[in-house]
Amino acid sequence: MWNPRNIFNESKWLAAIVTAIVIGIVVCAIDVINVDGTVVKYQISVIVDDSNSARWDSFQTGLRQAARENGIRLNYVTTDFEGSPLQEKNLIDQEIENGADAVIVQLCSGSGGIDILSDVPANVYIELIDNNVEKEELDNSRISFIGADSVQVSSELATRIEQDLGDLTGVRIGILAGNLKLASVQERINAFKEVSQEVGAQIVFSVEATELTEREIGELVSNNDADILVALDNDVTETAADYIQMVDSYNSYPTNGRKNVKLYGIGCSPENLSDLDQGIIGGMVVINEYEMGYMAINSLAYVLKDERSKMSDYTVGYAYVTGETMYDEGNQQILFPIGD
Amino acid sequence: MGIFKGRDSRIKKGHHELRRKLVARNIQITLLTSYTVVSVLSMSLLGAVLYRSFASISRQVATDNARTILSQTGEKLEDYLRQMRQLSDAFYYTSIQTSDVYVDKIGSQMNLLYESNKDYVVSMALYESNGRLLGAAPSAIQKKNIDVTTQEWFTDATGEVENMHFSTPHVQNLFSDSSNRYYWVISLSRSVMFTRGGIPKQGVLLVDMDYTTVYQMFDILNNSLSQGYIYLCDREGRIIYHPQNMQIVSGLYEENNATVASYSDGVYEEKFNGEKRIEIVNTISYTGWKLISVIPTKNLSVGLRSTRSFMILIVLLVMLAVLLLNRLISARISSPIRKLTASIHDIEVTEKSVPIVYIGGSNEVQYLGTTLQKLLNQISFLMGDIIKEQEEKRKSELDALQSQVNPHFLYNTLDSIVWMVEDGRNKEAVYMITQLSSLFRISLSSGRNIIRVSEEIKHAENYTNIQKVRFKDSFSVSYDIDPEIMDCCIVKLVVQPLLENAIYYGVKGMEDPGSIKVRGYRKGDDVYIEVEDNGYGMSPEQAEGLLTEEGRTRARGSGVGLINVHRRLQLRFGKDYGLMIDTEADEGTKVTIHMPYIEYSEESARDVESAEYI
Repeated sequence: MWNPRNIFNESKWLAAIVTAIVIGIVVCAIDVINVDGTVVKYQISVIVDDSNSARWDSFQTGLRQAARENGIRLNYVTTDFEGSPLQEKNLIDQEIENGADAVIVQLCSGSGGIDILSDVPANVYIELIDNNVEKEELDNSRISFIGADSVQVSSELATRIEQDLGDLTGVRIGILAGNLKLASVQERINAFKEVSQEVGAQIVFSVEATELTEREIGELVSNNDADILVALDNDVTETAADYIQMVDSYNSYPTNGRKNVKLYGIGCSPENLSDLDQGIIGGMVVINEYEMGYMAINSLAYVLKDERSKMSDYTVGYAYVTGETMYDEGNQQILFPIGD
Repeated sequence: MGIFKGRDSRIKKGHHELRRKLVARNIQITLLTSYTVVSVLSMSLLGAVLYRSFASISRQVATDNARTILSQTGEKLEDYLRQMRQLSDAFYYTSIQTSDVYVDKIGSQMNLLYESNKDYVVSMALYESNGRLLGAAPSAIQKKNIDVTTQEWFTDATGEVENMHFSTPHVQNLFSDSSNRYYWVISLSRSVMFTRGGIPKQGVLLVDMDYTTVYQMFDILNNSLSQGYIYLCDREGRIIYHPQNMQIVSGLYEENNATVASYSDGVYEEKFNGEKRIEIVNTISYTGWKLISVIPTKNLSVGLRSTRSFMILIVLLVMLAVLLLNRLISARISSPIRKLTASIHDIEVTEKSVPIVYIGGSNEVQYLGTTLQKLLNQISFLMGDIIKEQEEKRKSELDALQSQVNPHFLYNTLDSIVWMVEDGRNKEAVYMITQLSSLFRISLSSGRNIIRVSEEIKHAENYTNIQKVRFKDSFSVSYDIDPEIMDCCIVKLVVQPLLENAIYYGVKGMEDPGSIKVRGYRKGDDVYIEVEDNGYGMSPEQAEGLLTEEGRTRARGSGVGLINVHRRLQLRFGKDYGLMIDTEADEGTKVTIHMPYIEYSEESARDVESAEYI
């Protein structure tokens, strides 16, 4: 009598084929489930200082676009820690506790950034924007940086000022910098000094201007008889523009003897663009913050979706614009980003 | 050439090996393999055809859907642009042409129209041909140092005065805004004729359409698309809307808008940046803008991937079911043949036993089984005949051999008788002749091969009596036979060869008097007759060879020695019986006849003769 139990005993190859088919069935079933199943949605938190500032509009547009394309749950944290590393660290810890797979951080301190990042769990990716740190000290392959090349940005600004004025020989320039603790600010100052001094300009002062008032700027200009103010930070550029406007319109603050102080800067906020449009700012380097936001999410999404890939630094583009060129077809897209 | 020859021979060898393996497969495996291969190939082919068909249909459906969406979007956009043109027409024909801007408040009329369309319009303005602003809605202060005559919308309007002109999206750069807002607009400009102080003049009417209306329309549409995207460009290929416009501007994405702008309406398939894609082009009337739907083919395959996996899953499941079903069917079909094969596997046909062959299954297999059974029966029958014939022949040969009288024995005996007569020992001569006569009489035994033990012992006594006379009583012979076995059956002439060996190879030539003892007794159902001498004896190795064909030539003795006696006994009584030899060098030899106790009668003698007791 034929015995059904002998069905596999008689031929090993039959058992092998059946096993292969069963494995194939399992693989296909898993594939069908995976394709039709829910896609893992990663969460990325964004922590930047004064997050509601209009200067982040372009950056946010880039963040949202990339988040939508990559299916990322974006948490843009409302902040105003005014340069406090402790508050920033607390916010980062809180976001990680709330399940963030990655955090995009604008560090508000230089060496303090190392302390902030050293406690980050090993499974969380960190994307630094704007300000970089010496990552070798952290020994963490899950940290990378996205931002403009500070040296190139400052060099471009110095070169353009020279082109605008024709000759910088003997021209007295005062530098208004951002947070001097940040390496990127130091790089901007040094690069600008180097390029401008090469063409004969005289740096009459170089100060951290984050806390300076318009009047204090005026006193610096007056005391040093500066011809040109160069603001190397978006907020500082806004303050300096306010100073210029008040001097031009109402002569409210001290100025140089010729009353012809010109302002050049680095920025991107609507206020700065408006000042540029009105001619208050002579020229400005605008960093492509849309690209910064877009690539920050894109890079993180890439490493989150594929653990084998590694993070790497990315340098975003920039453009030098003036009141005349800001509405050019290429520039207006970067200066006035369209998006949600 | 040599290489190819070698390759050919390897291929041929491989084919031969494959063919041999295939041929060597059992019927079930052959059936299973055939069914399975045919089934799997059929299903794979069917699956592939279905998948290709499904993929083609999916592609067609996706293309048709995209065309439909594109067409609907185009109509919606055309409606919007028509509405804007109608707004421009309305202001131009109802206000500008019927008013004198010097006298009438053209601005208030413009404001009325603006208010009713402000959801779609950012601003409206009327300029003189020298760029001077005549009126705007909503009321606003024009930026200082603005020269509108250099702006594209103005040059377009003054360049082609008969047409309305739609610009590409741009940030409005006309009016001051204290809140630092900026507006993305599409400028609709046209050259107009207006009257100022009774003098007709040429100017430009500008309607700045809110670009966010177009942006949102396409943005919502693109968010609803799963397989591709739609973008809009003007006839020169400049992008009006693209879901990745910022990425394009930032150099993070590329689009072939410059090329597609030259395409007429239709469906195109091309490769761009290494990616295959389907592009559907639809031209917007009046503006000449191109509405383009892009479907990367990899997105189509993403949708198809689950289908493909599902189809493979189904094919594999069916394949598994077919394989098991085929296994069942092939097992059922091949079962009778396998049973038949098993029933004849390692069979041993003898003349007495014939294995039972399986007879069952289909008619063909039943016929095969029946025929095979008949064949085996016939073989068994023929084997019996042959064996019987061989046995008979062998018995005859052995018996004939055994019956032969050693000529030397006869010559010597007769010579002894002659000498006795010549010496006048007539009495002794008579004794010898009497013994010889009795010996021959029993040897003949009327042709019987089975005689009584008493007759065999008598024959042995006759023989020893003669030999004792010849050897001048140099040895003694004693008989101690249990009377109980005297009437028992025994094969004729089996004791005499033992006595002959005992005399010639045992006691003959001994210095001491030789002694031969013949003892017969019954033990249970068996009978033992011993012939023991005190002669030279032999080594165990020599004794072992006495009863084997090989050993016969090595051992001392005649050609019709112990082995023949041993075989004749076994032929009649079976393998359990025969001779037993017990010997030791210089100590003597005892040869024992072992046979069953069978009482002599004509019938039993006949049965023993025909080996019925085996």
